[in-house]
Amino acid sequence: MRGFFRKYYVLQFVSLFAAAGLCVLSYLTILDYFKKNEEQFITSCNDEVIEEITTSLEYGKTLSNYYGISDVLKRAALLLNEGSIIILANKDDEAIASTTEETYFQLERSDYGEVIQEIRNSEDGLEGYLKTFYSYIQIKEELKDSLKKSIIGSMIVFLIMTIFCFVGYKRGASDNRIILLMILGVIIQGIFLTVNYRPEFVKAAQKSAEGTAAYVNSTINDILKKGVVIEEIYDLDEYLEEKRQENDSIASLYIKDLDAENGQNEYILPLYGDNEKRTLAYSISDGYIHRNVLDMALTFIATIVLAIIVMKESMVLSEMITFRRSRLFGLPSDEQYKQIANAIRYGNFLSVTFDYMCLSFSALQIKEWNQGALGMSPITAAALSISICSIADLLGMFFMPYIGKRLKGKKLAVTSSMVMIIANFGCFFTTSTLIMIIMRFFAGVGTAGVKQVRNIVISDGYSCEKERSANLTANNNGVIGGLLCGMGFGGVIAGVFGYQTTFIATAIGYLLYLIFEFFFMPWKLLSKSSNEKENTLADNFIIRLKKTISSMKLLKTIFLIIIPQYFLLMVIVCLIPGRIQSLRLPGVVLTYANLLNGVAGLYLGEHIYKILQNKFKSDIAIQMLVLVTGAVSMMILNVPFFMTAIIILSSILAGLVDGIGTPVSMDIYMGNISIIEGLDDTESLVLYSVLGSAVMSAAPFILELCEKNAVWMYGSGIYLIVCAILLMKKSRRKKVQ
Amino acid sequence: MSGCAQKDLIEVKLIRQEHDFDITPCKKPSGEPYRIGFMDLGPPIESSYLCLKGLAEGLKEMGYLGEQTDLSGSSEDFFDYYERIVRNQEGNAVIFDDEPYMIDVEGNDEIAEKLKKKVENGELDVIVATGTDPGLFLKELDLPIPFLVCLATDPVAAGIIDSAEDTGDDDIWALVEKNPYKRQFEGYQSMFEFKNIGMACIDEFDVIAGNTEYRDAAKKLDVNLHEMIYREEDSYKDDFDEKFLLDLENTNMQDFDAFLFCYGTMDDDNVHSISQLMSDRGIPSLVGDGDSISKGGALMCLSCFDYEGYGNYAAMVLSNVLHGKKAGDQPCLYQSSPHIVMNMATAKKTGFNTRIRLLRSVDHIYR
Repeated sequence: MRGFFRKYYVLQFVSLFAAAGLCVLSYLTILDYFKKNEEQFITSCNDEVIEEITTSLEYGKTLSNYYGISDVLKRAALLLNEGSIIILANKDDEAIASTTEETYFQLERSDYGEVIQEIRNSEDGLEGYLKTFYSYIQIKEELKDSLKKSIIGSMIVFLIMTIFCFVGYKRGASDNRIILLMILGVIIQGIFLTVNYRPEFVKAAQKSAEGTAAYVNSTINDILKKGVVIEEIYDLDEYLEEKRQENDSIASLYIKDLDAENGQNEYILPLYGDNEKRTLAYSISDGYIHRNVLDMALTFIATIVLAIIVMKESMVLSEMITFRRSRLFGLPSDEQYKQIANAIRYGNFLSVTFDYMCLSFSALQIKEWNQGALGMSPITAAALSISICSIADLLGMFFMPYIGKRLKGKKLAVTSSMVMIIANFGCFFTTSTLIMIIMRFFAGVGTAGVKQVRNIVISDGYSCEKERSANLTANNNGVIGGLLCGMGFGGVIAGVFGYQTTFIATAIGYLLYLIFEFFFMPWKLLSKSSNEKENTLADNFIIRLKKTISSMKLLKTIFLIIIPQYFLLMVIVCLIPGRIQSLRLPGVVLTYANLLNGVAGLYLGEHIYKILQNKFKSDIAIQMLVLVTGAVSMMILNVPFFMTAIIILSSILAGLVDGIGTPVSMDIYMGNISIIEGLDDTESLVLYSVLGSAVMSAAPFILELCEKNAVWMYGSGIYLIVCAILLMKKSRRKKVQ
Repeated sequence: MSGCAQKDLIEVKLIRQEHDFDITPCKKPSGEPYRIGFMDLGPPIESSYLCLKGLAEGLKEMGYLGEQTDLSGSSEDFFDYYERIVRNQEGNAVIFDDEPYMIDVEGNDEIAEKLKKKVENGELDVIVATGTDPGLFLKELDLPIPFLVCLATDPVAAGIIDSAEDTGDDDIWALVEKNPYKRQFEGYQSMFEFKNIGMACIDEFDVIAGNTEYRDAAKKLDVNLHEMIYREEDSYKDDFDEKFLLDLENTNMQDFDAFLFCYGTMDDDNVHSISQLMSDRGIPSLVGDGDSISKGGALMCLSCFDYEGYGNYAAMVLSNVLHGKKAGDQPCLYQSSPHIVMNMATAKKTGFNTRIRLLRSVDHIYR
């Protein structure tokens, strides 16, 4: 057994993590579903009180002098589920009245969900907010049994899977078979969880539909009690349709004759008085329930794919450990350089995973604190916490050539990792927006340091051009894998434990990264190689940089290759999410767009790149193909049908552009004569990163225009094709030469 | 999990409203209940009953009137309701006088004498009045106890108080409803979206019927107002109803989107024929004041006078006064939520589409 665990400890850990992840994800999904249903119900019911307040404001009442408002709110709260609290706030967000008796009270955020509805006057001016807090405790209580079942079931599945794997190990099954068994176990667990939670999905939809229908029924009955007959309600159908649309759980809501046959899943509520012959009928939307169950299953699949990626990436570890223990470690050999590429890939995978695990959560945490800093509003401070990290990263990269010379690779790796660990610990422990912003600044500096370490290893860790190219490909693949996993895991951790926990996870992650770098990088060999390649260039960096970037050849490479390539990398970050949002496609489409983009870039891209290299023998020709593919990935987004399929296809193409184009463009750039003559390898990589960051800062604005306007979209596509055509000329010239 | 942060809390602290009241019931320092006199102009009308109802319910909700005071099942009659209040007052923190003071019915001098005597003997601590005349009567009487006027069309113009911000007398409080007719006009406009409206009014009733406010509102909303103005003395003549109907028949209303009948023009006697004429022409007949007119056939009466709310608000002010605060320092401004009654038969005949949101806010529907 010990041997089994020793051999497969990483895989075992990953599958355990995946199993736990599925358990948590399923619970979060159903919890979110319950919350969404509750919020739709509250939104529906509150429209009456909002209407009452709005009408009163139109007739001259003011929120600051709204006598009897507490009674109005209490009446509204009667419609809602037990434990709900309604608060009326003015436009400065100061509470004016509530359904509780106290004038001061506190609610634990973890126990309450919040629905905020604006109150506007007849000129559409903001007057205040109606805030409804509903209890999570009740929802959690309802889900307790299903949660217990899901944990016990998952544990049993995991145990059985471990036993099977162990038996397979004893019988000498191949590694791939063991991995397959592990994945199969996680898939079975996913199926079990889906089946386990399905009744809860039905229950929540029923409850929400029932509540809304009961509210509509009582509204109509109140009118009927005033002596109105149902035909006199002029816009009743319109109203019922509006209410149906407000609640996704309701498939139909209409007035029907009592004698008429009942539809499937149809429920009826009696109408008051003379209208006894008619009833209010409603039915639960099966489609809505199926969609949500399917969403959960798709999320499971996405998680399983992430787990497979982690497993696949981690497969190299045992090979690396074996090599690390061998006598060849630290000596210049083909195997050593191959292991350097592996270490670059896995190191990048780790660092980028941890970077992206927490990246966006500083802003969300600040918004949740609702606390500004240095006179900034919370929203501005939240945005700053993200951008300051990028600014520090960019600034840091400028200074890294100087710092890198003093600290060298190993020391820089330790220093940068320590900065990352301390900064992320700081983000976890602080409750102040200002400290959070400062810590994010240091995290940006740390990221620049880590990138510089990466650059040093790439530039010192090869003995021939082929190895350098392998290093660059490994570097890119590590980034893609890290991006993919970081965003996925970050979402899960933030959802379960809160935003700030992502920082402690990152801090611990960087500790692992530091251990990894320390253990697997042949620092002595790299240092020796660095000394051998000691910069013999006479001028200082800035002067050489000036000379280099004023070279026409380099400018051509920058404008025809680097800028389009980095621009295309942002398609999956900005354009596709924007498209999904504007088309109102479900969130799971984005999950899959990201996932397939990553998989295409990481595995398919690498494979196709090798095929293309054999076929074309020219990097420029490959890059031309990449640019045309990029243009297609953008322009097909304007196809007005099969939108989900189109978006998925576009994401895959964008992934291929990344997986193939990034190493190619980097190869072309590194092979540029001005770069070779003007800068050393590390400096070249710094310049490349800075150029990339600059393009990535501007690209979102252009892609935003592309998303809104087809002219921009086609314009950008044509620009990419023009770049490809101009490259064709270059390619021909090269051939002639 | 949120770092070292304290548990993440949502803090809710209610800011003070302009009308914060001490709503805990209190008795005199001696432990005796406070004694309240209620005054109205006789004979009482519906608004007096609603005001009294609001006052009593407000006092009961705060605990001034005990559980034994049964206010349910009243016949919507002022005296019947008053009788319910005083039926069993033992143990209450406030006690109403056995009978209400109805001026212009009983001898006003007698009432004055009675009140003076009661105050001298310490048998009366505060008076609540409804109506402009009772307010003026009490002001002139100048008793050394506070009095609250919870229903007067314009207590400032009438001279009961100096202004809504400063009543001018520590012992006097009167409820002030600002621009009720202007708000009514705006309400009608948002509901019927008229651009041209006819308006019949009595010239001398500019203040009490809100004619001036209507004109201001029409100007503000850019609505063309076509006025039919009558003299007060003519409106008392026997043939007024006939003449008014004839005038309406002879008026070219082709461009009118609605017609507003100000106080004094349409009443219970002529409402049937006028509303019939208007609905035949497909013009909504809107009323300045009086639910009963809508009951009689006018399409709608949107009132910005929430009489029950006035009584309720006065109960809160009264509580502050009983807690030792000066009546004159209490906030006078009150703004009613609209009270809407409509006649469904007329609405149908006129071709007015009754939407669900309107029906929801309508308080009463007549047929």
